[in-house]
Amino acid sequence: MNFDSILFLGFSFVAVMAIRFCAPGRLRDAIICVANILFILGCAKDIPPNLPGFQSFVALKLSSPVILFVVMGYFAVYAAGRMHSTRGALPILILFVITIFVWFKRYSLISFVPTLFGNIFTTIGLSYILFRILHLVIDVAQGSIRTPGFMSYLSYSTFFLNFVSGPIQRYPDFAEQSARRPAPLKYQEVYASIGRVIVGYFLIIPVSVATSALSKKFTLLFYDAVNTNGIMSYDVWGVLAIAAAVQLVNLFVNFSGYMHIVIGIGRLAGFHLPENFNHPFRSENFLDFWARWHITLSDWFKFYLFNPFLKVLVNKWGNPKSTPYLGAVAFFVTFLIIGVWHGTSLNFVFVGILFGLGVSINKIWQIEISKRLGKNRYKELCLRQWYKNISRSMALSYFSMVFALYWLTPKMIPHVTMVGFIEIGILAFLVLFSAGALTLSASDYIKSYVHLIFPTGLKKILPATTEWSELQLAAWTCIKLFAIANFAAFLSGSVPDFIYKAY
Amino acid sequence: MVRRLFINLSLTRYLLPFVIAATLILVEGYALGTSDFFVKYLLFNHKMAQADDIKFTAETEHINADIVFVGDSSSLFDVIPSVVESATGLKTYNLGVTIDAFAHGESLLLSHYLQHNHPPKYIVLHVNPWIQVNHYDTSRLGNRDGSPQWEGIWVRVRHGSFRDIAAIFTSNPESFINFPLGTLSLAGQSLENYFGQHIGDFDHIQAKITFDEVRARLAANAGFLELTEENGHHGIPDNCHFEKLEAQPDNEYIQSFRRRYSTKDTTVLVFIAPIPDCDESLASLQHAYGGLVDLPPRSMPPRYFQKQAYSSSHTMLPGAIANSQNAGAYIRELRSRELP
Repeated sequence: MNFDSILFLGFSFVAVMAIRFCAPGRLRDAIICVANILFILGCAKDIPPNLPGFQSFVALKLSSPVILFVVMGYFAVYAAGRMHSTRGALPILILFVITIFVWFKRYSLISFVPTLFGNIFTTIGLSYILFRILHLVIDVAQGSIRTPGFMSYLSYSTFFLNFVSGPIQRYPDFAEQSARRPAPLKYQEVYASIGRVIVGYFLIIPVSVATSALSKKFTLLFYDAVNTNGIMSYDVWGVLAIAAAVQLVNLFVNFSGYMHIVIGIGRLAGFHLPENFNHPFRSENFLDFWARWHITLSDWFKFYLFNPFLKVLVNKWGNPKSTPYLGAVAFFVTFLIIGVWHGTSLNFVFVGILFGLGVSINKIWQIEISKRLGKNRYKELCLRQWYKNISRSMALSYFSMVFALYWLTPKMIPHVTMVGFIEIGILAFLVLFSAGALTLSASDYIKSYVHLIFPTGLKKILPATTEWSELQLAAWTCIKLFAIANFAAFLSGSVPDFIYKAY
Repeated sequence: MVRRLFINLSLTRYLLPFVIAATLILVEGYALGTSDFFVKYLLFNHKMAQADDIKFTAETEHINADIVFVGDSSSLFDVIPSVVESATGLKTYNLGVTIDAFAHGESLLLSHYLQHNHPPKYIVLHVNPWIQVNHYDTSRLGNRDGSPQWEGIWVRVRHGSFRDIAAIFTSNPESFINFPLGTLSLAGQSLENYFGQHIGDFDHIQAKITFDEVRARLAANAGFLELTEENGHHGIPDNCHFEKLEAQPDNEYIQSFRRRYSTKDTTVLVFIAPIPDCDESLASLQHAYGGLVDLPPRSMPPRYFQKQAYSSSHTMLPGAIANSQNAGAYIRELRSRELP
């Protein structure tokens, strides 16, 4: 069930109406569960090839790893609720859940282990179900939340709006919203939510089609440039730098578009899903980037890996001098695991190491520079525009280049060795970083001139907006829907798939 | 409960913008699909559909051919009228269109031609051997109840009477929505193609070509359209392999076609398109079509065919010449038997 399909919209409409209609309780949970199961089967049905047989059974068979994982997850949650002491038993339960996940997800490192499900099956959503199950296992074991009933667990762990790629919602939030009768909707809220969904579709249809076409074009240009000019060429570094930047924009557009859609639909159904992005291109450094990009993932890792791991390190080796550096170590390990979680091959271990190096070096830099300059002077430095531009450009360029490991296909440039690959990466990073810093500085320069001409700012020149009536909002929504429907119809067949579905 | 239901029902008013936007998009699709602007400027990545449209219009009036080939795309691409003409000495015209345009517009196409031309001596139904096999084509001739593809609806909407249009939408209600959306999608693909963005999965057959070019080619070649190499067609390899399939000719349709168009002046013939000689089905096809059609399928070298597919592998120029010579030879022999 693709997010850009009429089927998904129709399905969401029926699900939202049914969820809103039912009073909180078992019936409502049951409706959410049915919607979740239909959504999972719908996702499995899209998987090629079309196998013979009654399609619902085929979809059920294809999605059996997800279903089995959810059921096993409940056993783990139930067992966690029965534990008298978390010491000893909890790590075993966590290990059990992670082992099942790694096995079902077919990590290439354990490819020798036979699978339960044959060669064709889907693991869409499995990674995010893992987070929800681990969250429940840990919190239930620690007594922060009570063991949920099976229906409630099922509706949470497979909730159709955040099933594929989040946002990762905490169970207490979900349970509270699920148990609450949705407040009557005001027309402003309805049109604001619909508007959010439309923004999402605008991002995943016309914008994503354009960015995806551009990224494909620059990627092919890069392969051509390497195969023609070798690795020591300005063209090669420049094209790779552009391709990496465009791929990052493409990922952001695609992923944030999906988030707008599910958050908008969620609000109509009475669920306030957490935000997953907060202007990541305004990040001031690599640590700040992760606080703005895929926020719910970073938060999850912060609560369930970084904090406990740092606590263990501090307990063992902590003293006033070493504690800040232990934080850098904890960052490295956390981001290494975030990288590994993203995929099943060795490539993702490298990605994890590079993510880990990025954040830990950033942390060590912060510690060292504030030591040398003193906290106040360091704060002053951070407020300087040139410093902001350099660190922002460095953070974004670094992420773009690490992300290149996801989409670059070494087979396309067979004569390039590993060392050559690293060389190109470093040089392209330098090109992208310099170009980024210069562009940001240039934009500041232009902004300062605009400010001279319009000292009050552009916003104050425009007439103040008044609150729109329902009819005005309906008309405006209608125009936006018509425009999006046109984009969808004209570009049908070219709309790229949801990228993060693969992770 | 009743109050909640009422509150929920009141929410349905928010559907109004969706309903209006959906209605507008359907209207836009129909308006575009029926316009000449669409055919001329927004369909150039689909030369077969352009050819369809031309054959339903005044371009096929006052031709007065003696032999008229009609049928699916195997007729359009596999029969060269000039070759048939030189073999028979009779003026020949190729009225072949896409399978869907033929399946859903056959009577429109032929009635338009017959109204504006002298009755031909021969009407030759030339079709691909596989179009009547269930799992290879949903829009085969014998299954008019199957959901039609875009071209089938389009020729009816553009050239049919109100009754024709109503009939196709009554039997295929889903097409009422699919057709305008398909129109907009084709327009989008054309625009992408025009601007050189090969974003979608285009078939090679949909290479950029303008309406005027198609019209000129059809006029110069008496309705025949050549599959050219610049469109990516280089012939299929000699080591190709097609497994044997069982053929199920549509006896009823072929008999009905003969009945409908046979007159004292016109003889109806049925020819089946050739297949590559790496296809193991030749014997079974010849057996299935034997006695039912005038010219059963024969095999030709694989390099004569453009695509490795059962139902849509058309011949390239050398194959089309060979096929046309074969068809011409059959008609010449038939005439020599008929003439005193």
